[in-house]
Amino acid sequence: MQLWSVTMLRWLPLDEEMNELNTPNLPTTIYLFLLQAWRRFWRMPTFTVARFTIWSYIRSGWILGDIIFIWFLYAFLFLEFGGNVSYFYGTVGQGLGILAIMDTVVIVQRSLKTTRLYLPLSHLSSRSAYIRGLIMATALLRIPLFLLMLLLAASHHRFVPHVGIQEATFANMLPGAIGLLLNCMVLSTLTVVLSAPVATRLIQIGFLIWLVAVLYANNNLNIVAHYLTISHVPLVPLLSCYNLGLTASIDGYGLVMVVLAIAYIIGLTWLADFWLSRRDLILW
Amino acid sequence: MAVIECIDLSKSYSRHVTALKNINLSIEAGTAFGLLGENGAGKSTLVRILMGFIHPSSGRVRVFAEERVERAHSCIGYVHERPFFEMRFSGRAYLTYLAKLSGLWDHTNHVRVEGLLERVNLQEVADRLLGTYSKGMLQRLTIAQALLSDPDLLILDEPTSGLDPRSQWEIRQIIMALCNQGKTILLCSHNLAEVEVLCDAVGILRRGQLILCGAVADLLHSQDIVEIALADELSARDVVSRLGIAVIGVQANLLCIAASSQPAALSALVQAQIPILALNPVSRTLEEVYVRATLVSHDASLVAAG
Repeated sequence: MQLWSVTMLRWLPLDEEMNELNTPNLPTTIYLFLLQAWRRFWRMPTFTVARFTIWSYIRSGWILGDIIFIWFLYAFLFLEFGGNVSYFYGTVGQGLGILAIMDTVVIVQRSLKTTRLYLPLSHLSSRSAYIRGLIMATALLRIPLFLLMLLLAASHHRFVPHVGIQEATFANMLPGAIGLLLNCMVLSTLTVVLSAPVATRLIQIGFLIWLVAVLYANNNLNIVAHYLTISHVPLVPLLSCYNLGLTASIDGYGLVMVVLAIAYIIGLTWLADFWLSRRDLILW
Repeated sequence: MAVIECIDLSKSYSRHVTALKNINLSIEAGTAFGLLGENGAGKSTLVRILMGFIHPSSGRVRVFAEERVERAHSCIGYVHERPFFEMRFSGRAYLTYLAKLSGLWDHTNHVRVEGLLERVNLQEVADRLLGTYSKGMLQRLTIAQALLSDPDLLILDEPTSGLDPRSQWEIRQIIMALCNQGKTILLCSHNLAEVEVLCDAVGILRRGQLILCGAVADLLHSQDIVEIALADELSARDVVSRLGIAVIGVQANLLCIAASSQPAALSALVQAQIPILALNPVSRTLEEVYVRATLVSHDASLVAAG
């Protein structure tokens, strides 16, 4: 209760800002209020870390690797074959998923595993802002990379110039875009959560065991595989989000699954924060 | 008021590796405290615990009365022994980023960053990429970032390590100015002369234990050795052989004796009617204090081991 009060107070304008707001003109008041709120939002340490992480990733040149990967994906999947909305999301979803994991591994390697971490942490009053900023950066990077892929695929392929994705409209592209981006964000967040020093070796091994169970249940028909299908349960929201692109529509069930995927991202972020706060940061 | 308090502080990395054992330490406000010890003695572990980067296994630590030391970060400036920077950013851009994390924005950010760049003499190279900086420049930048929030406590982990003499001198001047401003400083260093010049008090760590702690002046002038100057240019060697006084050393007309044997030596000299010119406690360098303390600790551990 107290925490909420403090959080709310931080968003209210300061006294001098209130003086500015005491103008008879209502639109000006609203404008100033929103401006102050935006400024406070923009200046939160989490967002500062996220912006710097993205900027650092771009300046390091790794972003060029992403662009090349996307260009190859486009050349391999669309230049010759083209396809409709389902084809686009079915294929691109997997490619961008792999890219989400690879990017995040690079960002974590650069930001969490060296003594580079000590200086920003020494300026923050907790590790939370840093890890949240890092997760936000890895998640936000998905958006421009998806848009680049969309632009390439939609703009041209060899057989149908100017109409790269057949029968694509804003309405039937939007559900798939939401599903794909959420899936990629869950993957990038999960990668941060499972990276050292956030996760212990035991947690990483536990995750691998779960992954083996999922794959075993997927590829076998015996009694063990039958019981192991329960390991598929956590994947239901991700599969549903993936299907949004294939069906090019969203219903009530799909909406629930979207909410669940968002809950995954929030939950995983909380878990990363909790685990990191308990770890000894012995970096060299 | 104690800025740093460690009470029975211990840290074990595993069952076989104990980095710190029951450290009790209190550093008062305005003190420049030097933390000495060989490699692996536990200095960096202690510093990381004080910064909240690692958690103690047992005992308590308080920085500015905060047990969750991360909450006191706004009052602490930290210099890491091996800083690792974002090499594709300029010095100014990186300092600006860290200042923003400290809650400094707009005009305050600009003024503070420019002021510190000038203070550490990096203004001319502030727009160059950090990858092109020399080690000395990077170290000065590390000190600048530690001063961003104008902290009351500075934790400096080997700030002059691996630098050329000129850069070492420059950094020492900055630290000295901070000492004169009344900042509390915790300085970890292998450079004993540097600690002797900069610090008011020192603690010596050995194998995770604080084996010696005290004011530098007290340690350097501890009266356990006394020097007696004989008058009339008498040969100290002759006097020693004649009277059989237990000495530590002799040189010309000077006798060096242990403080404990001072009464016996003086009475022997008075009885033999040998005039004394002066009697002074012997001052030692910090290096001598350090070597002696670590040797004693080493001998004690050998005895304990049987």
